[in-house]
Amino acid sequence: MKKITVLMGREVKAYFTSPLAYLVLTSLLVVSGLDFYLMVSAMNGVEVSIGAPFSPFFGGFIFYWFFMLVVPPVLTMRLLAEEVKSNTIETLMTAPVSDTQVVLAKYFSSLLLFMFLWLPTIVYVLYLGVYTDLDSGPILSGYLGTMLLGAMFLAAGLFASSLTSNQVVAAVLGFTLCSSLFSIGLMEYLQPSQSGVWSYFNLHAYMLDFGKGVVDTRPIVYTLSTAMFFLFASIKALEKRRWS
Amino acid sequence: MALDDRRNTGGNRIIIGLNVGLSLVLAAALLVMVNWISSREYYRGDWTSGSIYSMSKKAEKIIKGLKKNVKITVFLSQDDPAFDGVKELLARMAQASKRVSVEYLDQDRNRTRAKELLQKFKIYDLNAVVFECESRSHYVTSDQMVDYDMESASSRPRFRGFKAEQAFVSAILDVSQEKQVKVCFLQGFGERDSESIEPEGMGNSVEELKRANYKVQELDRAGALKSKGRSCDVLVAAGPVKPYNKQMEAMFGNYLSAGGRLLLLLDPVPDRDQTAIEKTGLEKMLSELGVEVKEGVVVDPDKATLLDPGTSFFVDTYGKAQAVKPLADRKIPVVLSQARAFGLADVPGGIKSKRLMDSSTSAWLEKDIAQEGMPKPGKGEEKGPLLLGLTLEGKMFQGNKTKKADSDIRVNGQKQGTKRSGDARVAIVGDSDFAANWAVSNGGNLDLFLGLVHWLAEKGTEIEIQPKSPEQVHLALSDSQMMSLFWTVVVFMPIACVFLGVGVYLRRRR
Repeated sequence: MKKITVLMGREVKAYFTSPLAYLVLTSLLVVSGLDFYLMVSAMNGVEVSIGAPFSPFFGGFIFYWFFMLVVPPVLTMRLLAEEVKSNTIETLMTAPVSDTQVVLAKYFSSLLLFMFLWLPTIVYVLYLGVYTDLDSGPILSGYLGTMLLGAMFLAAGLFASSLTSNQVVAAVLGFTLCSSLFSIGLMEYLQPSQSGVWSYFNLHAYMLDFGKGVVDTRPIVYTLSTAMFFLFASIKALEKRRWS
Repeated sequence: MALDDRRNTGGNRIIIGLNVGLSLVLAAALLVMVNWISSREYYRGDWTSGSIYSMSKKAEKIIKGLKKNVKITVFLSQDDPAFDGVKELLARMAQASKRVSVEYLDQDRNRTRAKELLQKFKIYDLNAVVFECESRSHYVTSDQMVDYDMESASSRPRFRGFKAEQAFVSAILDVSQEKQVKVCFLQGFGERDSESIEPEGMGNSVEELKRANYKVQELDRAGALKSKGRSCDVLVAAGPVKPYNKQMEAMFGNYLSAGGRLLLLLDPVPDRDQTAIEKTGLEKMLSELGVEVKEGVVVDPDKATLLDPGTSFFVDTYGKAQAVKPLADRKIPVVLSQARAFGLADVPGGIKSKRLMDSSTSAWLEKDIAQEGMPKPGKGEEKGPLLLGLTLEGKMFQGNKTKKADSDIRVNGQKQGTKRSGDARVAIVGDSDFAANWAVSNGGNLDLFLGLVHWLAEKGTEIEIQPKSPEQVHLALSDSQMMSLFWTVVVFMPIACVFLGVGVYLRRRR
């Protein structure tokens, strides 16, 4: 655990000393700020249920999905690919840390950054709370859903990064994986007759549920188990690299 | 050196590759298995402060106890205000019991299937949810799922409560029970024909009853008096034109004494000379219940319709009777034509009376039915508001119990799983035109008719589930506050982040 923490510290430091974190944070704030402003404009002067003011913020806007699909591969693209390219992977592999520890440390550092990116949006909640009563339940569940999605997409991005030494290829591969995971559930809307099968993968519908305060165990199991699978696949990819 | 040796061995590469491949296949299999279990056994939590998406314990118990498969088909548009709530509720019902299956039908995308089902269920209201079990079906329309505050100052009616849970549970109870509620329409004294599709018939109203899973039967005079074992949950006497004789009056009394449910739609019928109103033959029986049947025709010029400004009028003053609550809540008027009025005097103890509806204060009871042209109020004629309908509930004619019991219409037994009370119920309206084919689609006429039958049959109230009313909030930001919001969240916050990044970069360079 200590080794993971040390490695995580190193990764987090690397994030915050590079322009990437600030670039991503700025773009998130522009996009989510615009979402929030549009949402408040639409609701201003209209009587709505107490849970409604924040529910579209989580999954109700196209910008949200754009951000969710693009940012995780960008955050993870360099994690393993850069190590391979700069040959630091050899040093890392000979260090007294296991592949699992390396992967987990890199994964949790990206997850920590992802959580940090969403932190400033709490200002929106506080801002709106000044003018109207808010139901905290749907807001908390909205953030929970966002973190679960982030956890899954980051794991997919990390796996993509473990397959190549080129950061751009890793980002594109990661984006393809995340988009596929997102799109598969949209089949529910295209094939209503088989909606039962597709609905299980419908991340869009799950996020709308989280946004309104409904917390279902299915998306929790789906996102976390998929994240674990990708992490396992990343460990195996690293293991293969070590012994090949 | 040893490591390099291993790396260079081709056989080892294959073994490592196989090992990794097999591990991934096993992990993928585990992933599929875990998610398959998760898709079947799941829990939906509700984090809202008012638990607005949770199903009540009562409803959950009923759904979990289902012994038959119930198929639910949703014809609701996604734009409907009830859609989200309905989707959530049905998801929870499907979660509670494997016997509940739900199908959403997009009428634009899947027209053939939608058309086929609309014809099968004979649905005309496209915003509805249909419950089906074996050959029985029951449909709930979107206005039965949501309560609106029609007095809201805004252009759109204000959402007041989500009441689909009670409507859905009632519908499920209704279709999942083999025994249907039987409604008998009396014939023999000039009552309206319940099967006729002619303007004066009641075929359309009866069709709606069948769609609401009622079993409908005509009962002729001989059948009403002679057949043994004939049973009716609700007995309807719709617009008799001849007075009922004493035998019939006694039959009604005995039926009520056994806890029967009676709907009387009593038009003011002119006598042979066209100078006075014919007796109904039920005056004595009704007076024992505290109801006075007034002779005359109600004229309400302030609420007159264009159809017949003399005696056809809107009614929007509703009483506290349960049967008219949906109409009162939604402020939907009914249209009555050639109606009579009633009086409420000394209602016997143990019987609860409630007003259904009243005329406006400008109405009067016209006794001179022979006068031509527009009626005018005469001296001594009773002024509005006039009672146009009422309901009675309680133990009635308890002294009659032994009289002619074997030749009367038997009251059907209590439905399994429901809590039908043993009390008799009577609903009386001074008009039957509102339920006739020519008028039933006017205003809330059909809702009034169905509401009366539902109340008599205790349908829709088998269980009581309070409507969910999420707390409403009003966001009122001025233009300057909106501008300040824009600058804060879209401009200042991202710029602050850019400065932070530049600061870190400069510090690193130093």
